[in-house]
Amino acid sequence: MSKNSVYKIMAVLMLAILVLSACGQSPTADTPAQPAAPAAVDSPAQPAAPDAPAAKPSGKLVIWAQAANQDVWEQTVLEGFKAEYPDIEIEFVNYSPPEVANQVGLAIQGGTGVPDLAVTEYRSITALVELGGLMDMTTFMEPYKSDMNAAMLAYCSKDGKTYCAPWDIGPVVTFYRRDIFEAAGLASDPDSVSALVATYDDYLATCKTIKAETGLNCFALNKANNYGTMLENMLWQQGLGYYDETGKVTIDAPYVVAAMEKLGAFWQADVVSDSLEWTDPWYAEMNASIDNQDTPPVASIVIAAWMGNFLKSWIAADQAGNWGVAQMPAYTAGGVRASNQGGSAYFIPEGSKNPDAAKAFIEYVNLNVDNQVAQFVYSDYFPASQATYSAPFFLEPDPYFGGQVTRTVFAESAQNIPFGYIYGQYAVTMSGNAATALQNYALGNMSAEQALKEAANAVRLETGLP
Amino acid sequence: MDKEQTLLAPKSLIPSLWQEIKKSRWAYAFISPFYILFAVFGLYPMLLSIYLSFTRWKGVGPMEFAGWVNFSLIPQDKVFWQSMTNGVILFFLYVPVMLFLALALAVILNSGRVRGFRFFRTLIFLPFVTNMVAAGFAFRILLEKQNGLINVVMRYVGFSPIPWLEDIWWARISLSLLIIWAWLGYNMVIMLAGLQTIPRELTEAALVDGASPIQAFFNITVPLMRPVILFCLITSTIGSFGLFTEISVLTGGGPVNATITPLIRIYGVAFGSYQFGYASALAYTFFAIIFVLTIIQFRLNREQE
Repeated sequence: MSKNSVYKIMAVLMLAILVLSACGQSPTADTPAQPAAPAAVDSPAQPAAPDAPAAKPSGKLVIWAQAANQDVWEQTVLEGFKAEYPDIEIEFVNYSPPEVANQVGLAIQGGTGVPDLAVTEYRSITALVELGGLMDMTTFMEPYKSDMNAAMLAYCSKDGKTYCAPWDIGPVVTFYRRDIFEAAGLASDPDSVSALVATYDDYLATCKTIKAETGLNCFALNKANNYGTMLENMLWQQGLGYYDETGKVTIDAPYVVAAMEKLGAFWQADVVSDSLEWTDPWYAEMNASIDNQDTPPVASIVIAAWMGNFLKSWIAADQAGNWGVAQMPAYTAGGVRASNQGGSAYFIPEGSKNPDAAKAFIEYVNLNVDNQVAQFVYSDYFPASQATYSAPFFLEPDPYFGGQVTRTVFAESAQNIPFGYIYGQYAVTMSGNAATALQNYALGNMSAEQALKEAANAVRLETGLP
Repeated sequence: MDKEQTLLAPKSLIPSLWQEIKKSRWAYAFISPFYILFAVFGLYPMLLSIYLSFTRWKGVGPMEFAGWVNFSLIPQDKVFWQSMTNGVILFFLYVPVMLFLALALAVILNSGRVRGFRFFRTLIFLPFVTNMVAAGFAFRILLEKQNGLINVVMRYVGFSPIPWLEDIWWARISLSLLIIWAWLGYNMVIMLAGLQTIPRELTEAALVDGASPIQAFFNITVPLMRPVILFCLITSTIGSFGLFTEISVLTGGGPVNATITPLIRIYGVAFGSYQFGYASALAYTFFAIIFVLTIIQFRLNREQE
């Protein structure tokens, strides 16, 4: 046994340690092979090289998106895109929206394996925008910014730069059952119903009438597992939320307590059902006929425009002609009658191997008004692009909604959405803790103030925010 | 160099060890894939996690060294302690019932009086190989408050329906039912293997001497099965704090965090808030607690022996 062998062992060990520790370094240090990739695309340092416009983007384009997104593209615009860009070869990878963000985050950290282009929900994107690792699209998006919904574009922005391209948004409206409103002796045309639900106080009074006259519940508002979406609407429409512009946690602010108590009035008046969102009883209540004794229907639901497609296609197909669309309630009289739920955007991670093809895809599929309308017609993904709202399709009556022209109601809500402090880097933690507070309050475990105080403290501890 | 070598080990030991390794190098080569994979995917993350627990790191960007800050937050973290309490409650709700049922079923199957032994063993084991997400959804549909099959039957028989997933305690019980259903077969098979090492003559002799089957079970089978029961107990203890899929699918942690476990909490901190430093600190605190609990279980067992 010579010293040599010992050196060999040690060399192997050192190498192993080096290799292992290299994995932990930041992606910039880890990928010297492609340091120019992010800069090459959007940097103003390269103002349109003279020979650039001639070559069309080509090569492989890996897109991460949920299966439903892929379906929309395949059914509407993908053929056209392929004809326009025959040299781009698209490869889809399907993940659920939160998983797209998780996987992209992990890939950015790992320094390898990012997709060339991805689509996910604002709720998840905002965290990536804050954390970094997304390609700067400021210059690319500049011509389209004024057309995009300003509140949702703000979620794509940080320090004056744009990191994602909004696709769809979720303008909130009130869906209501005409037959139930009529049975309660109330007017059932959209304008009258909008007046009947002008504020949450008016909505509560209307709900009481419906309950008294028909015995039916006004909407579903689960206690034990409530996700807090109604509470988020109430805050968002006031331009408020779980934090403020300074980054301070406001979950225990008086205005959140007040909103929670306003929502609590619906439980106290016993006008809501206890079904949990996205479960079978919740669907059944929306599809039940007015005289169904086993599953009594609910009279309304305040939710985003995309629900229209769900109602007609699979949740409440039996009730064609009975559902209508009115404005959502204002928080106080004369206040904003618009909020947002969900919606998604395109983004390009730094390290994308084919950013040119990614941009070509966004430009053709998402930023072209005709193509955007085609996708909306097929999917009811409500566009963030406001230029689409003047398309003739928006004025077409919808037979499912009794021939009502519903899309103008959606568009009105869309154009009034304020910026709400709901999504953000800590959206998941904040909404999770707020939902727990709402559950505690609903079950009578705590007062609204106490429950929100606990939630706010939990968020402060976990996030380190003030 | 010489000085360092003597620090590491006596000089004579290293060459002989090396000789040994060299002699059986093929054996080492054949077992090396596991150790290499373990080092990369097991050991390295574990060690990195220790370092992470002393930093603030958002998953992207630089790691800021933070000293003991992460650990100092843990005592005030009500959600984490609630998750630990939930783990303890779940443990008492399902582990005794499950282990007793597993042992009882194993003894019955092992008694030699059951026709179609293999059939029943497979049947009881089947839930363990069933996909948990599918099973969880099936349970959710069965336990649904209004129109779930169980409540429909309850109402038909004349009982008031049970808020299976809407009440703190019922949600925990529902979860326990799912876990028992899924893990009973696994524990039973291990108990069965243990029973087959106990000579049948012992029980037979006791029965001949006039002991009742129940006396024989408690005085002969249970004491001899103690190491196997301990193994099941420890894995179930760790399991009840580390439940994840069962909860994600069935209760989502609700109502009011009554069914979140430490693992769910740690995952939420890491992938919900991107606080990988704090999540690592929680993970190591959790590890320390589980470690102590396991040692206590071993000690208790040894004392009883």
